[in-house]
Amino acid sequence: MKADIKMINNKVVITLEGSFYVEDALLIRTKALSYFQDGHNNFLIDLSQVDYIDSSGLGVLVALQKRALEHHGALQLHGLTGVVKELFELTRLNKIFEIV
Amino acid sequence: MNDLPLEELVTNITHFFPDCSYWIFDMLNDPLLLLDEFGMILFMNDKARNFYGHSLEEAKQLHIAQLDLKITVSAKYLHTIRKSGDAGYIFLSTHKKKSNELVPIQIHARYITVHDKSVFALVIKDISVEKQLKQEFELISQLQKNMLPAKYKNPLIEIRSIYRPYNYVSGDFFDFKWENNHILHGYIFDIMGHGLATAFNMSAIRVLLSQAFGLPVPVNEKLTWFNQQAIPFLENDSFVAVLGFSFDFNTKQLTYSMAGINQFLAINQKKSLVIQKPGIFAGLDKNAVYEQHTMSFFSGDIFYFMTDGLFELLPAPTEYFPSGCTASYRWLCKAMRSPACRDDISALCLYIK
Repeated sequence: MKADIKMINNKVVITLEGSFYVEDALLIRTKALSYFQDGHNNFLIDLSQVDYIDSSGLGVLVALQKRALEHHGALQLHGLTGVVKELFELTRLNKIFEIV
Repeated sequence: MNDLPLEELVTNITHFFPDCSYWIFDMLNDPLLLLDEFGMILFMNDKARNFYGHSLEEAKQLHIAQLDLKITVSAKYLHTIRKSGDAGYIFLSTHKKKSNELVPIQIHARYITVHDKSVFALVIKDISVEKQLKQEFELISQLQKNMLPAKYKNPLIEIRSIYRPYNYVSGDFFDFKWENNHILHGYIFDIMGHGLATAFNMSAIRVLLSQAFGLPVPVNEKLTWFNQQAIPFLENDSFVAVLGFSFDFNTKQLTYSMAGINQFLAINQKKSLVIQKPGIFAGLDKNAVYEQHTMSFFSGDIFYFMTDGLFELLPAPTEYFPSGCTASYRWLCKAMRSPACRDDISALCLYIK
C-alpha cells in the first residue's frame, strides 16, 4: 500500500494506492492523526486507487472521522470503486461517511 | 583477577575512537558486560551493576558462569560467540543476581579484538516481563477457547467450528443455543482489531450478545438492542461485525440479520451460494436498524457463517465452492492455513440432517 499525504487548500489530502490491510492501518492512522496536533481538522481521502480494504483499514477511516468531528472538522472520501465501493454499500458505511 | 583492567581496555578502545571514554558505556540503556577470553568479567556498566547488584570491584572477581545458570562448558559458550562473527549471537538464558534472584534474559553477544586481545561484549535484556506477559497471553488464549461452545450434534443438526486467533488472543467469538422448541439461535462476531484490548472487549461483547439473544424479539431487533448497548463498551474507535441467526426446524426457515458480517456461504438444495445482505457494523451508529432475512432450508443443506479473516482467504468463492459436508469443511480448513492470513479466524459450520 502506498500513502501520499499533502496539504491542499488547508485540507489534509491522503491518497492511498493498493490494498489497505492491517499492516498499513497503524502507520496511516498514526501519520494522519498527527495532523490534528497541528490544528488541521479537514481531511479528504482519495480511495480511487484502492482495490481492497479490510476491517482494520475501515477502522482507520472511522477513527479519523471521529477525530475530525470532535475537532469540528470533516472527513470526506473520494473515488470509491469496485470492491471497495461494494463493501461500503454492503456495510452501509456509505451512510456514515461523506462521499464526494 | 582479570588480566585486562578497565583502564587499559578503555585506553585501547579510545585509541580507535579518540572521543570515547568509559563513561560512554554508562550511557547505555541496557546492561553491558565485557568478558576476557576466559570468560572473566572485565567490566560491568552502570545499568549492569544496578541490574546484578554487584559493584565493579565485585564484578571483576566473577566469571560469567557464576552469573549465567545455563553455562555448562564456558569454553564452548565463548567459542559459539566467537564463531558468530560480525552478526553477533542472540540467545536466551537465566542469570543470577547478587541477591540470588533468577532473571530470564536475552543476550546479544559479540566477539571483538582490541590490540590482539579477545573481548566478548554481552548486552543483556531482562525479559522477565515479556515472559510473564507471554504466559498471560497463553492463559487468556486458553480462557477464550474454553468459552467457545463444543461441537454439537442432535438428530436434526450437526455443528462444527473453526477458530484460530491471529496472535494468541482473538476478537472473534461465536455461540449458539438449541431450544427445546426445535429452534437453534446463534451468532458470530468479530471485533475490529486482534490485540489484548480486543480480547478484553470480546468478553463484554459476548455477555451483551448473550443477553440480546435471550430477548423474546426477532433476530434483527436483537442486533438493534445489542448495537445500542455495545457503543459505551467500544473504546478506541472500535466496532463489531455480527451475524445473528435462528434456524426454526418446525417451519424449516432460517432467519438471519447482518451487521458488518454481510455474507455467508450455503449449500442450499445442493447449490453453492454466497449470500450477501447489507447491514452496518454495530457500535458506529446508535440509531442503526437492521434488516431481517429468511430462507428455507432442507435436509442436506450446509451453512457456513464466518468472520472476514477467513472469508478474505477464500479463492473466489462464487466461482468455486465445493459441495458436500466434508469437502467444503476441508476447503475452509485449508484456506485457514494460508500464509496470507492477517486476522483472527472463526467459522460456524452447520449441517442440516
